[in-house]
Amino acid sequence: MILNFLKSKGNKKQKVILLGSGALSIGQAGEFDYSGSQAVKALQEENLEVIVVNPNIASVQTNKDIDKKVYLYPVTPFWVTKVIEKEKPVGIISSFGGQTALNCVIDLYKSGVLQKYGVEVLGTSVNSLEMSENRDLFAAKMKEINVPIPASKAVSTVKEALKVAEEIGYPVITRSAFALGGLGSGLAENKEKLEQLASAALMSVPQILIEKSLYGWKEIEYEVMRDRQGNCITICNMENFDPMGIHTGDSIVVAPCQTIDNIENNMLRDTAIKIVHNIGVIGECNVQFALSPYTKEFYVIEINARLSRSSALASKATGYPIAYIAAKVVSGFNLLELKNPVTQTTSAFYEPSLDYVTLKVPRWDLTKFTGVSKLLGTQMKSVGEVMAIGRNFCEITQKAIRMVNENDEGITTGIFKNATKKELEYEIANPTNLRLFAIYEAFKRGYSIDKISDLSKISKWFLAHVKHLADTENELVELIRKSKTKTVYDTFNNLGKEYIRNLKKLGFSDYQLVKFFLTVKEPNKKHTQKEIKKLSLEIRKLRKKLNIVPVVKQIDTTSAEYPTSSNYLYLSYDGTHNDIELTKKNSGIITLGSGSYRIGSSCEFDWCSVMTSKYFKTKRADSIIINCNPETVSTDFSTSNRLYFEELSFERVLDIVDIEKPKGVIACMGGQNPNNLIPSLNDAKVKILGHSAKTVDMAEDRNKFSALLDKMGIDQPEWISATSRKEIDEFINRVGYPVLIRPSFVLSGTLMNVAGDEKSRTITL
Amino acid sequence: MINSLKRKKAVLELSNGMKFEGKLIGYDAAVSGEMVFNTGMLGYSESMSDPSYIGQILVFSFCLIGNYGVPKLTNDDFLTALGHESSSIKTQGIIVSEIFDESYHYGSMIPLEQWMIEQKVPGIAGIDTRYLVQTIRNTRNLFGWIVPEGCKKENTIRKFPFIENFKKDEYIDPSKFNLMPTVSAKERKVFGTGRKKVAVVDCGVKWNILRMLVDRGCQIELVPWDTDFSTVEADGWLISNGPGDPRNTGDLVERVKELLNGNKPVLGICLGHQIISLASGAKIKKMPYGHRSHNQPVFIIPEQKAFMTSQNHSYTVDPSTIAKDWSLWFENANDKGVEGIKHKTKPFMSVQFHPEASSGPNDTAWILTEFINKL
Repeated sequence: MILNFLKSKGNKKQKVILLGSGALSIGQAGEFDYSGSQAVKALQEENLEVIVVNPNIASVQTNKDIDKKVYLYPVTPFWVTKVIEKEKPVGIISSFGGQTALNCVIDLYKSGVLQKYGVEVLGTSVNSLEMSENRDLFAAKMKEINVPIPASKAVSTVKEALKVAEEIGYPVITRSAFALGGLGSGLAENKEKLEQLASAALMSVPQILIEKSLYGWKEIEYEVMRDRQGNCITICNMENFDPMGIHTGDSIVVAPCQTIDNIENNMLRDTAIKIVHNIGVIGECNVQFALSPYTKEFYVIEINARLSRSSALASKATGYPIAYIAAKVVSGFNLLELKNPVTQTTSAFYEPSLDYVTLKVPRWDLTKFTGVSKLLGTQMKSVGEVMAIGRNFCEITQKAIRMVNENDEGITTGIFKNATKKELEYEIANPTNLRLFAIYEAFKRGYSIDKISDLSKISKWFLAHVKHLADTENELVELIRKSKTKTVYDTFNNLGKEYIRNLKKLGFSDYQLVKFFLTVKEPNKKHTQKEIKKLSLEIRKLRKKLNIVPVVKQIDTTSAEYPTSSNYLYLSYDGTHNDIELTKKNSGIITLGSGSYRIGSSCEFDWCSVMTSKYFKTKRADSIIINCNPETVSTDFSTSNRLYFEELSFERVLDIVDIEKPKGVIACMGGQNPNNLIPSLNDAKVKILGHSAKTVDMAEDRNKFSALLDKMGIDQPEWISATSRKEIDEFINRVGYPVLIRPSFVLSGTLMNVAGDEKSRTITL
Repeated sequence: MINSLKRKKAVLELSNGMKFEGKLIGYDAAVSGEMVFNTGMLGYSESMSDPSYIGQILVFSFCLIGNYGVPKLTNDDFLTALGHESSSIKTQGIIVSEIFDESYHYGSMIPLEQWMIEQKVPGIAGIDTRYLVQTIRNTRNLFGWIVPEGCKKENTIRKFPFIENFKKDEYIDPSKFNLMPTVSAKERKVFGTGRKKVAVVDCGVKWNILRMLVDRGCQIELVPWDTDFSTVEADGWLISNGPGDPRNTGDLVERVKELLNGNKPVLGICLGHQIISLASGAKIKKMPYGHRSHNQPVFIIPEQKAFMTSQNHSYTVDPSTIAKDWSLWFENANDKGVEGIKHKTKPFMSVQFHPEASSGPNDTAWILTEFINKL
């Protein structure tokens, strides 16, 4: 039941403050808008007036609403105190606004503000929060309950260093305690290497840390929920494709875990529950482990006693609305009292079972910054993510890589086509955001799984699938080469139904297949994307003739053990049966979401898609969303009547249009990504609502836009549209430096630069 | 992630007339069995070797099976054979969406398919397992045949004696016969050297029950299902899990009644729970949907203390028939079904779920400890 002091007094509702996460930053982005919005809904249902403090105007949680007040104030103790003074709330909730909200509440508690105004912290107590955040307190607690954490000790002599390393066990990492930028830190596999590293480091600093190295270990996470009663569930487990050494935010992540067995899973699950019990978490908690790839040895790395990026991902991966349930739990309910919102009949005390597999791939925008190292490590650099859902690992890998780069070619793009052996191996051993492409190229060149695993420490199970894709491409290209047919249609028709179905099952897009064909048959001709897309319709025609079409599957948390009417959907070629039958034909409105957050397109476009979808949900009761970004409110299944967690690609949108036969598609609410689909969808006779292909083209194509301005007599800087350097040089000779160089159809000035002189012009081009 | 293009075709024929076509995996032979599924995402080797699955074709709803190969199994040694619940595969066959054809896990002995070939167990991959699970869920009493291309039903593999009762092209319905003679130990056998001795009535016992008793310092006497219990000296009794209809177990229920007339602690697990319930006077009914997963939520009634459990059963105790000396101990949080009963005064308890897990969560392992503490 709801806590006593939260119950309305007569007609007067009690107030609780919900802290947001403030402005978006790396490591803290749209996922907290999703969590916060769910919490607001859950609390309003319990007759509470929610006071949201969050200065992020691009968020859904700061929308105007009855039973909700919004303060666009910074999430800092100073400003939150002001809100407390004015509103006199009975409770404050810290766990839905990331680290910012958590720190703020700990501060307010320590300074006595909360006690002074009689404001209760809902959920995990401040003492428990501190235990989860403070390294020393946490280590002491883990020792007390017999949970291993990676050993680490400070030493000031080489002799001491060797002694500590002996205790901890090699390999160890050395870190200089007072040095900047990792000076003197390194990996020592043995005594000799440590002697060398330690003596070098101790010459410049008085003290170094010797730490157990877990480089190359499996990185595994659990999302745990615990209520006041002490009842505890693990909602989802997740495994990093990239082993320990790369921040989990920068890692490709699969859910559920794929390379561990039942015994390892339950060993870690039991430990996660034990930790959460002993820390005394109430609500949601994320627990991260390092697991040896060779033994049952493991360590707990850290815990987050709050909603996190991982919990948003876990919600979308399982369908279980973690934040919504967590908000009910922190307000006093126990899990047995709540229903699973997906099934609406079964208990919320439930661990979802999946009959599909999901893959998260981070989105980096490192090219937008000069001078930033592209190497991935322990500090997070990604700015967004996508999640792919499918019925096999090849399928989701292909989908996810296409989603994240908004590129129809995905993993087959051939970024490392011309790389030397040395460059390729260096990239695989020293990963940047492009490592997966390098691994794919290596497999195309015949590298073994063992070799790549040695270089990357990535589990062989994952690599075997990437290799299978590369082998399939090689084989297909060979078959195309041998074929005597001239057209795409005939060539693929000759490959046969089973062969094409297998390619689609492995996640190859029609676009990719056409590209293979063109690379073999017309190697010297350059084809535009538009031409390739048009040719891909030939494969589409053939597929439909052969009845090779994707099926719609539901995400229901129960793997079909119970009947549900879930509206959370994905498409797969690895299946034969559609889960849903559409009753209302030709009436839906499809809203295309924004895809991955990136610099220049984030929360604000999610806000636009959510508002659009909700409007149609209320007015027409047939609102459909397509999006692939797990950090969003638009991919909350209650935002629309049907949610397709899918690629925002030409092919996939057409697939969904074929299934839904909608009244129209709105592509102008999700930012540049869906906007770019308008011309091709229009060509494919899809009814576009909102901006038409023609107006988009006129606004986006610099040439047409400027011509329009000229026609209307509006001044603008002198410009040309150039396709060669010669044209540019002639123009610069005429108008002089500085000049602005920008491409058409891009987001927020990608590749746009000011050239002040000849040198910078050359670099920019 | 097999190269499915090069594989032989195989068809799953169902007793409701439906057919599912896929590719043969494992041994090349036809088999029949009752269609059942499990929605657990891990633990295929535990399930396949679980004697409760005898006579059944097991459908894994999770899409990727075989990822970590098959754990090591040496000399039928149950104490070290983690990941195995008996010495061989007990399912008639398996149905998967995709099988992984290698094994890279350090604990693996052989790839899953290799194990199936060695143990003469066929299967089909490339099936829409979600659709098949829905089909099984919506059809009471569904049976199937796995038929590889070019293979005749007459050439079916008959690994277990009770199958001889069926004609060669008949659908096998394991609950039609008493399966106890097939799954139970043939001789009494003593393991371990603990202070307390538990007699385990083998109705198809899972090895993890034995492992957990030994780990908790017990000596075990494993006794065949048809043993005269009065000839066994023990501090307590455990009636094990097992296959089939609890009402079709010969005179076992009658003999368990004798145990309930005594005062020594008795614990029943799964089929053992149903046998004890019948012996106590309760009635058993078949469920509309069986429980076949690792995520069945149960709770202790007064305390509202909840646990995640592993389950695999299609019969359940009718709550209105629980005897007056007994009380409802655990209830299912999803469908309010009976998950455990306890005697009001004597040390008798029984649970429908699997406290020994394997596979699945270990949340209720304490039940075995509680039982041993009563010895």
